Amino acid sequence: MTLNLSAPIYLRYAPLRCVYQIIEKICEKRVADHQDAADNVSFTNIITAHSGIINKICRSFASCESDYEDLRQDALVNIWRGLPKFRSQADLKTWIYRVVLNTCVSVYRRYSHAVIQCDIKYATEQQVDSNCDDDNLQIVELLLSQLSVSDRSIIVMWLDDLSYDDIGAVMGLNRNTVATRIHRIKLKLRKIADQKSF
Amino acid sequence: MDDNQFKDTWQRHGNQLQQDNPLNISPQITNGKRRTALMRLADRYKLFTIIAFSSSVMSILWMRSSILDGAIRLPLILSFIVYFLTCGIMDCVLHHNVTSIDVNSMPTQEVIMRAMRCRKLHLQFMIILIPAAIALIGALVWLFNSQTPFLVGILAGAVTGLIIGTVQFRRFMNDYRAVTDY
Repeated sequence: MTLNLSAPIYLRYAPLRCVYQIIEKICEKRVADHQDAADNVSFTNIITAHSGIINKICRSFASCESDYEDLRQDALVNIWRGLPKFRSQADLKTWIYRVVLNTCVSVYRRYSHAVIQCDIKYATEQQVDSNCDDDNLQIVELLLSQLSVSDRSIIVMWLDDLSYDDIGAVMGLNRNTVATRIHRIKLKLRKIADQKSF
Repeated sequence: MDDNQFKDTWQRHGNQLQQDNPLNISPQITNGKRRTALMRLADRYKLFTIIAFSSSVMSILWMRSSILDGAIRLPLILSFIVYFLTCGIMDCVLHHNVTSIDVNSMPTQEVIMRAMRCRKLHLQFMIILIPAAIALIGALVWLFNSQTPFLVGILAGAVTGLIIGTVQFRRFMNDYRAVTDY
């Protein structure tokens, strides 16, 4: 075993080195805890600022109230996990759209009798809400529910006034394709609206 | 309803939802204990991979068994080993595909395609594995057709397997969003 005499005394001998490493780890953990607390604050701020986006998108993809809550919580988990990787990237709003949409399109759907019951209850609740607040809202949600997952993802971003470039960045499409797709989706929506005589 | 009305309604809907449903951030999110549906799916594939590979190793133990006759012993054991290895490989492939979906960085189009492919692969693998399982059970029934206790055991095992398989299939499919309308 070679002894490095230029190193400090606490690194020269194995037992001392071990103690030093343990102390170092405890200190690191304290720093990490502090960072976690800081992350927690920034996470809460981000979520509070963008809760409208998260709620709207999850609501438009959910089949019932419990599905909506699950999607929301899953989206929050993904945002929390992805936040440290995000920092050096571009626009936060676009990134939030990406994470929430990806969460909604990738997983979760309930089938069976329980869902039908759930859907009826959800639809009734929505109807009650819309009667109180806005009749158009029910029409918008009904129209959106008629679209495919991909079309719905595009149109919810267009409805929130995102630029074609931003929509393209989230979807992985180029600007012209986005413009064409939006035009086709609008035609499709008009056709559905005519059929249902809205 | 024109475009502007459509947009106005949608944007007001967002503000309304923000007021009515403030997001409650569960502590399970920040301490990393909450698993998303995608993570649960990956965990389940991992569990099934381990079970399948362990079963293929356990099948070797049949070599010591005195129940099977000499001539049929080796082909039967080999077919069980091959079957469980195939199951393990298929679950491993699906686990790899599910974990490769990165919702934080992938474009939505790609996430949709990958989710669709995983669901399709799962169903394709089932089409291969279910007939193979039926053939293996059939071979066992044919071998032990004169021994009632064995037959009862095989049938009980098959029924149990069928129930567990159906429950697990429903759980797998529930965790996949039906993106077939893409």
